[in-house]
Amino acid sequence: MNFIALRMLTGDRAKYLGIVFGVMLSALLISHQVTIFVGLMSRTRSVFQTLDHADLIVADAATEFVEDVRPLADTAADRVRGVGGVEWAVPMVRTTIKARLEGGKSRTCIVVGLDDATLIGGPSQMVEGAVEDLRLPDAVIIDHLDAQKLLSVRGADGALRVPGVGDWIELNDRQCRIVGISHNPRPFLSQPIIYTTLTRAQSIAPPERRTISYVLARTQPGADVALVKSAIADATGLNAYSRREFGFKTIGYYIRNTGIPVNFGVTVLLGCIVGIAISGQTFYLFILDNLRTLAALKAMGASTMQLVRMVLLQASVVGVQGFAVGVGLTAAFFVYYIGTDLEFDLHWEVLGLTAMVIVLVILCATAAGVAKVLRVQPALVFRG
Amino acid sequence: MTSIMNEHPQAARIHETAGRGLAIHCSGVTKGFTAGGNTIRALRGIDLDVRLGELAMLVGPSGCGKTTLISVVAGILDRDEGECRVFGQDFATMSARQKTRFRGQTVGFVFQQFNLLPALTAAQNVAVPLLINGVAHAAAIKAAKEMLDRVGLGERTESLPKQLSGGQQQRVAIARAMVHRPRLIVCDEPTSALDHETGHTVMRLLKNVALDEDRALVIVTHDARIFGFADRIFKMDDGRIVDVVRNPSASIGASGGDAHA
Repeated sequence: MNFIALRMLTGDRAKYLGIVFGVMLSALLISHQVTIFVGLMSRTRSVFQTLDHADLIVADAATEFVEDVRPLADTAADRVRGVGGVEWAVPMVRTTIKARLEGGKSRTCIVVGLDDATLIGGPSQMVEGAVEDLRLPDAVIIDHLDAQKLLSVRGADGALRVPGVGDWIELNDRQCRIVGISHNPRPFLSQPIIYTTLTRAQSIAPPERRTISYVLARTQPGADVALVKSAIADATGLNAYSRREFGFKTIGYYIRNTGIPVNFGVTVLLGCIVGIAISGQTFYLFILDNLRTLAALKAMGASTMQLVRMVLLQASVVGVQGFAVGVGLTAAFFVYYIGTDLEFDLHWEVLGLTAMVIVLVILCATAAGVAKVLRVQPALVFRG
Repeated sequence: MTSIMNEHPQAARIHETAGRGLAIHCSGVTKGFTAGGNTIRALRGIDLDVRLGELAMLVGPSGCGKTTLISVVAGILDRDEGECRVFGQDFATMSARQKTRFRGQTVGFVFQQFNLLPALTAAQNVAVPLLINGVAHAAAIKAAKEMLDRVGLGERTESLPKQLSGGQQQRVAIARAMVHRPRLIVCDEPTSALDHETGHTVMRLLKNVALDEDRALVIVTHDARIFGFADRIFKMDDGRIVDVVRNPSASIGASGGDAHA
């Protein structure tokens, strides 16, 4: 009977392809949009994604998300360091500074100042140079994608080119030398990220009473992290978060306070509706067209369950094919954009979610057809 | 008596079947349908016996209940009242699953519009009843090809229905109705979509290949050109059998001669 079901399905090529197309479109829209959504949300916390050494991020108690920098007193790191269970704590500056570009243009950059002694919190992946080179005078490290797209410099021949190690960049009227090119997780905002030392960042940035943005800390081995966090809060009035907590706090903020999830949600919903509309309607027409054949099969001894299984097999086949093609196109899209700002990881969780939604789409699309099959009377075959 | 039979071989055949067991026994069968609040009585007390080895035709004007009657006989519709046994089995005492299984094993169908699956080859179409009954695919196709050979389509086993003429499609349908060796074959207007010559070819096939002494054929038809092939004709009107014509070839004359061709 499976053979008959599959031949029935593929025999009507136009409808078969129409159903697969509907499911494919649905899978493509859902997986594509959810991947971008997850990627964007992931980018909101990218600042701390590379922190391998610190397991706590200490911030002002009112801070709502990563970019919501509320300056701390210069003594914040010392106070955190004095809390029991803390192995070490270092300050970090995160500020925005305008870079002057060729032709009188300027671009706002995110400048991250790292503890001068340890350089903790710096880029984890270097394309050229080393993080330690930040100890050189006027040294900064820029990201390779920013270098290509946002920070072009004029060479000796007068032509614009991508800056490299040894080139100079002007930050807030101060000349800085590029000593390294890093590869960073892309940030949520499209501003270039520039790493330097904390002291240099403070000297470049406009003067403020408080200049420390975060304190990065590590708990002592064996210490109860929850207790240490609580102790930090009691002793300093600041909040300590794990990377994961701060990341989800940030994601939660964006979900609650921006239209991003609504926009993507609407697109995903549209994907479902399009899938159900195209696949469901075409599949229902397919069932209607084959109603007499199904009635004949029933008359010839096929049970209702056999017919329902045939329909479900047909639905499963188009579902799997549509899902595979849709997700394949999504993967192809992101493979094409590897190494660009549109590079996003296609997580297996997204594939799982897409698969679940496609199962729902298929069930909705099939429901009317199955209902028709359940009601089909074999006597129909004798009617003219 | 012998001379009459020699003169009318159809009469001799009726005499032969008269002593055999019953394939179908219906008594006082009624069936009604409710539509728009009105009940239409399609069958109003049908008494019908069809013997093994007999080719019975149900004829009558449209709406007289022919199709309803074969639907009841084939276990597709439930009767309201009366008794109806097919090879001694009463559909009324069977569960839906038993009825479906009995129908799949015991009844073969030939439909007016052939109802072949357009995406399947002739052999695959013929194999359908075997596949429904759980026969392995390869064995079903082998049996289907043998059956197609018997109906003269051994060379067209891989043809799709659209590549076959109407007559050839009906022969495929007949092969499909016989492939699982059902004991009752029910035909609904098997020749109405065919021209005279093709219709007679199909009827000869039904008579010579499908009918044997352990099987019965019931044919619903309007087509007077094939009446001569019947052992008995049951004339229906307004939900009743109003006349039974025995030896129709004798009464119809020339056309009946085709029955023995």
